[in-house]
Amino acid sequence: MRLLLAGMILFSASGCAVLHHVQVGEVDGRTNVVSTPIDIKVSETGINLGEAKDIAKGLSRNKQTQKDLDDLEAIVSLFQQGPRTGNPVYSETYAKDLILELYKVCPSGRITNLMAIRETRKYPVISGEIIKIKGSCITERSRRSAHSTSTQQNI
Amino acid sequence: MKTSPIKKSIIAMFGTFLVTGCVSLQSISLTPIPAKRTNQVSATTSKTVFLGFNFDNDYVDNLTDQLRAKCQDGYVKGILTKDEVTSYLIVFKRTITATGYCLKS
Repeated sequence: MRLLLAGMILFSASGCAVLHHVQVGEVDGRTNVVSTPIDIKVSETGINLGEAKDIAKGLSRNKQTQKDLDDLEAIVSLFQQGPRTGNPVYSETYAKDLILELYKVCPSGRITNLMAIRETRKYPVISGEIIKIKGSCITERSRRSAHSTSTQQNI
Repeated sequence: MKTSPIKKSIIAMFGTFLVTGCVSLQSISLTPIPAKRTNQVSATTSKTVFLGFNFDNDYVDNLTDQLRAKCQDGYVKGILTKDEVTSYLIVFKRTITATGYCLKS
């Protein structure tokens, strides 16, 4: 019972957020523009093979099986060498359409106050590899006022 | 005079505390630097994390708002974004600093 309770506490507390990288672009502080907030998030599921192996070893009482799991994890990790942030994902191209998403929310393309955030949401074995883009879509306030005036005149 | 094991442990513990509080640089980025660099503005946000239990990163969201507030009716360019971690044994302080140059329009 204590073990179950400890496991539940550990599971609930293990949904941790890890910040890898933050980058801030140029900031437009003008007050004569209309600034519409942009918030885009793309993510992919990452797998931590080390944690999966540890859980599998914990569930198995056969020492040969535990040794085989260690060997298997060591072999797979040889193919996952190199610098990275977060856990390995199956599809590393999950962020390639980020520019298109930006143009969808801001067709004018006049984007400023950009902040790119690379973070990970960690859970047991799996993780969410997240890229967030926050910014502002700029519209000139004077142009909108002129457009409104001309629209009213036409009516 | 021989030092007891307890005293050695206490000395080692204090020594450990002295060498903690170390700062490590996680990442850094820089946007194009303007020619006019007279008015520098800076924004900082931080979060203290105990034992690595961090459940959100929302503390970074107001970084650009801080810069905009310090440079009203202007542009902030040449922004250096620095992400650093200060470790105090079991407590970590994550600090994001953005420093740039305010150019009035």
